[in-house]
Amino acid sequence: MTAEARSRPADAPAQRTPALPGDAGMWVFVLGDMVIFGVYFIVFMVYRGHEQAVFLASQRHLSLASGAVNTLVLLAGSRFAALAVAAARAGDDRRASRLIGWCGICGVAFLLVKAREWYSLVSAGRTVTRNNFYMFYYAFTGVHLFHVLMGLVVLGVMLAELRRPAGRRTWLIEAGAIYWHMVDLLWIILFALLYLMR
Amino acid sequence: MKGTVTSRITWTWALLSALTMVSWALAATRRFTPSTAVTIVVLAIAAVKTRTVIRQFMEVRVAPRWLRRATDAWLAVLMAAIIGLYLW
Amino acid sequence: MTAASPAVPAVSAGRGGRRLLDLWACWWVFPPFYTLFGIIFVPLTRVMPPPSPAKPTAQIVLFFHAHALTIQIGFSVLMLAIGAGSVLNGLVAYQMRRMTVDPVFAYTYIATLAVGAIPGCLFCAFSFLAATFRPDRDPHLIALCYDLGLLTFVGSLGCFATQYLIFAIAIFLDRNKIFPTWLAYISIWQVVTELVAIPVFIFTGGPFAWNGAISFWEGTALFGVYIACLIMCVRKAIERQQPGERVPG
Repeated sequence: MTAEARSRPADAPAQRTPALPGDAGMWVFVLGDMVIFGVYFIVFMVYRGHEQAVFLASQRHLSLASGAVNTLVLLAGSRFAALAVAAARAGDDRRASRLIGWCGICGVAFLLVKAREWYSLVSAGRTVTRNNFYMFYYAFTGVHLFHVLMGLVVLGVMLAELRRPAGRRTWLIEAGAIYWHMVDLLWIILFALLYLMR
Repeated sequence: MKGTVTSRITWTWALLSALTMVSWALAATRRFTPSTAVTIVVLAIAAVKTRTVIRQFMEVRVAPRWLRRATDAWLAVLMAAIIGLYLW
Repeated sequence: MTAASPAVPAVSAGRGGRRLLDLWACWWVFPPFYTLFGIIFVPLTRVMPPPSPAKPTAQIVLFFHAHALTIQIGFSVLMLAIGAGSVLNGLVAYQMRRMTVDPVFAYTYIATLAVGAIPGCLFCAFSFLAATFRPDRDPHLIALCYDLGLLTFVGSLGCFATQYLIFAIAIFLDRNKIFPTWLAYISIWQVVTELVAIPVFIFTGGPFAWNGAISFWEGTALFGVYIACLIMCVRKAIERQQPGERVPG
């Protein structure tokens, strides 16, 4: 299935259907995950509508700086991932590996900032059962964190692929990068909903 | 060829980072009061950033039309729902 | 588990003389089993959608009194029917043995489902049956049965996380392409939904309770998608299977 998705011949001889970047399976996952998170976001907004004051009051205790720094960190990671794909396509495996490494460092930085943020919130007694806002905050940032962890595994798979001497699958590098961009964009929306909106 | 690809990536990243700083500053100035204006602006910025990541980084810009439409539809429905629920 | 030997003489049984009759017989367990499962858990025992964790004890007792007959019928039938689920698990594991990956994947798949079967639905069945067995039991004990049943039913999702992960990894590594890669990704969605079902042990209301929009509803909807895809993929795998293929036991 992935083979036909990767090298799509023209529908009609005269026009070319653009090829799907990456891998069709990864797009199934990414689009599905976006819908799953979409439902999360909408449920959040429904509950927020019932308790605006509580949500606003609780939001003030979030570290806006941590949220913003994490957003910038993931954006940097996405840039490294995109550059890695470009390098892999140009055949420059060493550069691609280095860039993937940098993306991984961004991922780890995100985890550390997030951990510190959770630690200071929990120490202040703002735990998951405190109120609905914190319930959503921990649940969503937790699921997102799981995605970042999976992302590190994906980077490892990409690195392993670049080490293969022959028959290297560029689509796998592309698919891994697409996954990272998804992690990035989900956080962009989470950042807006949890930290920014008033 | 590679030069234009990498510079496009870097410019995109710079734009996204700048937009992040703008949202951050905006939210920081309104920390303690509810504000419809700030919310609409930050959500709009988030929508622009998200679409940019999808189109530029994920390369949906050059992907088959069904994928362009699907991702745009997802974003449109989501943003409409969020803004709709916020305003009511 | 179905016979590994494919050398079954061709018998015409409405399938045009195709072999692999034993595999098809197993596959055809899917539709009636899941239909029965749905009938048992939805209209009969009322476990799906789950009644609220915020119900006061008096209402819980009323719930069991009102539905005692259908709960007893439904879960008694489940006792007999649950074995059919093992046939389906065996069928999937059999297909996993046709993959190029180590047999340990198939064995782990079966083992994790064996672990999950009790908390996954049997514990709930026994708890509810105990609650309806003596109608004049202490209300607090009846409420305990209610909690035990529903916490295990929704909260045990985590037991299956390993199964989904093993399944996904096996599909990714398999060079025979028994199942399509997108099925692996759908399996990974399941792992995500298991994660958001963990909070059911904490909340008595809201989206992360055992009847919550996220922990229950979204999770169940995705599970429905997964099962539908799994059934179709197993069917395709059997269709593509050559009758003379040697499959290790």
